[in-house]
Amino acid sequence: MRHHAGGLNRAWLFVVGLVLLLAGAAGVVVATGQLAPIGRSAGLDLSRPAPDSTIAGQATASAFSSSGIVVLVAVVGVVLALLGLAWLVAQVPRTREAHALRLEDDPQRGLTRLAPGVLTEAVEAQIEALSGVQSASAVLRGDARQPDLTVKVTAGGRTDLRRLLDAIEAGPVSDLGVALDTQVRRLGVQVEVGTGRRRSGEITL
Amino acid sequence: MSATRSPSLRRRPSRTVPASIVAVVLLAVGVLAVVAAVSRLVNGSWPAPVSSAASGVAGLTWGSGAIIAAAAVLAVLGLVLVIASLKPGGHKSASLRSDGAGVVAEREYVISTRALARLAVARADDVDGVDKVSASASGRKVRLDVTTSSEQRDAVRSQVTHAVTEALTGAGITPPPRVSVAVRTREI
Repeated sequence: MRHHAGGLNRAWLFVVGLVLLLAGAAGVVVATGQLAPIGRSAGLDLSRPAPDSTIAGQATASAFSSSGIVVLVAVVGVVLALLGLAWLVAQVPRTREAHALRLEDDPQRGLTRLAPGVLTEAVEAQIEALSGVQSASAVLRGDARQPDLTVKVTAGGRTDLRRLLDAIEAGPVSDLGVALDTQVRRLGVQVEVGTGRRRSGEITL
Repeated sequence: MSATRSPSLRRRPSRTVPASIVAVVLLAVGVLAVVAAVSRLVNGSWPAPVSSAASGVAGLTWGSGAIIAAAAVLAVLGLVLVIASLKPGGHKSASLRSDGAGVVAEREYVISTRALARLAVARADDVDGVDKVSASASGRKVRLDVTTSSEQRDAVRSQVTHAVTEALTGAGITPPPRVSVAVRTREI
């Protein structure tokens, strides 16, 4: 029903994962003393850092006392924090519902603006009135000429799903097309099955 | 500007959990770096926890066990994230086939795997001899665990398998999932 940040997540997970993997692998190579042999086989002199040398010397300590490095640390921190925050915000699923539909092309003759919520409420009410339906929610995307309707319908466990899907298309969706004077371009229906033990048309003796 | 179209309802996992964890870690590291740097600029020295941790790490040699362990953990973590990003993961729903009423240009009908399991449970619960039933489902497979007080375990298994398969096929699930049933006898 909603837009998720799947592509963004996979792309950034790959980038972060690759950076960590390369950093970890480099650390293991240096720590186990394999850096110099690998360098020799590649024709390079990679004798430093050696496994018995310390992680940071006096030069590193003095570098971190200069104001330039401190400002750099602050800037890198701000960038990392903003990236993390933006990535976190992107995890919230978005409906991306259509904006108000304009039902007249020529503004000189008047313009009717129709909130998509008015249409989806009518569609939901019609679907919920169908036999075997426990609840329904709908999202309208696209525009008035090419409406794109997505419906989530929760049915009972004994509902005839094929008949229900046909009834949704022939009733509420067809009516939506009539209301907008066009054919619904795309219909998506996600079926859920309710957990409730309430069953219509059944008695226990 | 083109209008927003609906995403496919039959989607793969969007890796929200690992992405959220990494995002929180990035945010925390960034905030700590800013706080430490601002503290250094204002007070003239790095905060005590930062300087003591930095001097502790700086004193270690590259070949020390702690560094090897940290590097290995980093590499494994990176590998896990790379695999999570590349592995597509299973679908969370199955397609439903329907001829429709012909009033839409394009249609996509799906049933979630959770709904698939509930549908199977509802149908199995109607079979005589079934005392208790639970189910789990993926897009291609439905597994039911049935408890019965009947001694005819094979008959119950056969009836449940037939009833559930017929119900799922009748619902138009495409391709029809494979149904497997495990029957346990309850002592009376």
